[in-house]
Amino acid sequence: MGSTIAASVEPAVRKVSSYALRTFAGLKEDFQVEGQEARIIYPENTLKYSAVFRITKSLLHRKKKFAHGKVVNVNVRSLIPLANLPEASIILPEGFEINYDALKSGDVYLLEAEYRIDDPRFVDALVDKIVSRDSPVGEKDTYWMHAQLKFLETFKRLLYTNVAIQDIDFAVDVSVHQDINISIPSYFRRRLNVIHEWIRMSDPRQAWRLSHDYVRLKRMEPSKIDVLEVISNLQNLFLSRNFRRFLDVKKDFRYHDCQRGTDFYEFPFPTWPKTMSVISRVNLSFEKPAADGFLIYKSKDFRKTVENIFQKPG
Amino acid sequence: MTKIKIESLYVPPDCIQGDTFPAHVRWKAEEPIAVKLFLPEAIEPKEIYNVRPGGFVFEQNTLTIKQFEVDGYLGLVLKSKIYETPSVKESIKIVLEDRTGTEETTKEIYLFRPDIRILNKPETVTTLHESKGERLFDDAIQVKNAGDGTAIINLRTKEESKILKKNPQEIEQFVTKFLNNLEKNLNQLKSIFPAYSETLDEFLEFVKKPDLTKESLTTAKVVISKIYDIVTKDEEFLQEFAESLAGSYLSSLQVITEITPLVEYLKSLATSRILLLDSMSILEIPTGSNDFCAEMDVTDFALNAYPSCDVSLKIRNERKEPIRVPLYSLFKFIH
Repeated sequence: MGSTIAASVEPAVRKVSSYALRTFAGLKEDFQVEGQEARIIYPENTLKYSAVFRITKSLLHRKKKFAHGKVVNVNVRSLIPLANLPEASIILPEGFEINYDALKSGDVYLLEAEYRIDDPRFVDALVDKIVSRDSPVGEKDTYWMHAQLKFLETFKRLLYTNVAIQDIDFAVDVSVHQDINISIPSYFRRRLNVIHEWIRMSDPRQAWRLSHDYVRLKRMEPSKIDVLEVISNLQNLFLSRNFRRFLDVKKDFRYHDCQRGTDFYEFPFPTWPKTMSVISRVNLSFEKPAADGFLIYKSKDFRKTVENIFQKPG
Repeated sequence: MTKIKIESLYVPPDCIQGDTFPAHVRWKAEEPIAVKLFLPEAIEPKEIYNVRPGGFVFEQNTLTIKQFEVDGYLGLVLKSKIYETPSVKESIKIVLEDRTGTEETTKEIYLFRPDIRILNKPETVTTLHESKGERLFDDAIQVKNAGDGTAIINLRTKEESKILKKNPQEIEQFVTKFLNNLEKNLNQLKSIFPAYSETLDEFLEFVKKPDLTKESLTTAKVVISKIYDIVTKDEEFLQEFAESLAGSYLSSLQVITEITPLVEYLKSLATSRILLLDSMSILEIPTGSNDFCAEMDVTDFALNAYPSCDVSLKIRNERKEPIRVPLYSLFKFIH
């Protein structure tokens, strides 16, 4: 059994925390810092540092550089009144700059500086993410999700206690294959089979026999349905905005998006998914280093919707 | 009366046997505490988070932790073995103790796995003169998943088999073209990123012959892990690699009607808890009586390897010419 060694991630954490620490040190030279926080934004892989500062002395007319890190966004806002001050800051090739001419003595401001984190695996090294890979049989398929911080001590020492990791993505592969299979009526399958063989047939006598079978099957159907329309409606079920209604995300996690899963090894046919990949998000922080939740896939509702596609008159 | 207050205690409700699952405890206490986990024999700890080196002991299925890096939180990753029975409920007792007393909770976890059974395997099957609906043979190999969770199965023909498994013609053309293009693209990629040559070769080898034997599954895990490590460290490579795969696919794409894929897809689904890996394969059956020698390899979504089942039998083709039949027509999947 192993216990994870924090030393391996410390250099990366030290580098990222230095952006916030150096900005704080720079602000403290000229201002009174009333509060600060740092958030790691998972999807963008950035560190967003925010500080509220008050100007307690007269300011010289100058521009102050905070020349460290790759800044992707910077913003200074006055808090009373609440207003953006676009002229108060600009991004530099390295770091950013605050223009003191845009600030007034005695006022309170909010600085937000967002730094790019170079290492794409930074957050994955800090967070343990596990989701259930399959769910036992039941009316509602339930998939649990869990996130926990691996190195709380390192976090505390090198970042702040007031730090959070925001919007950590979790992907769960929800099995839909069994619901399609059960819900498509057998007469439709037989019709599809006939068309399928028909397309492949080169022998005209066989083709004639198949067309005869096709007409016979069509007459036997309970409702007149157009095959291509049905296929189109089935495909639409897997669009993100449609499949969404068969999903529910509970507890600490929240739903973000869904998309077709990749077929298990069957790369030539991606058009009919066996699974749907559902993305949920969660936040972790020093105060809440572990989070759990679950995704519910309403398979019964999905099957009913598939069945209804075949009920519609053509 | 203890002053320990448990804020959160988590063990998931279920997990595939043989797979890892998380657990955590968060608490508030006035002084340092010890946490004890009484684990069933078949469950062991794999990772512990927020614990000082040397701050824990694991003996006789009990994990005792006394020294935390930051008080108030314990994170764990546990793993179960694969059980004889496909459905098992286990209990984990968690005890938090300080000088004043203890707080105790027991959590249950349902550990499941698929269990493929061959219910009936005829010695010989004979082709019907005229197919009756979807039936092409007079009998079938009956297969059932008697466990829980999804079984993923693959038919692997043995060397001595007279009847071979093939991809349907249009798929075969597509796959050949796709693999040729992929090899070409990956060779170009190797010249730009020579450090990754070996891993790219392993990847291509694996893509050409995916199957579910224990060796292949182990290789799959290793290759996928290596590729993942590289693409997450090297963004430039990730971009090029993704383009190689997409480029190979697009340049091989033929016009396939909407209907054919749906038919094949439906055939592949078998039943609720069984997925056929190579559902689009066909069997080429010569005239007369011939041996079909094959094994069914079984895995699950955690890529556990289960014992293979022999599905060899004789196939008698009483028609006047050789026929090609879909692989799945040899099987009947029972709920």
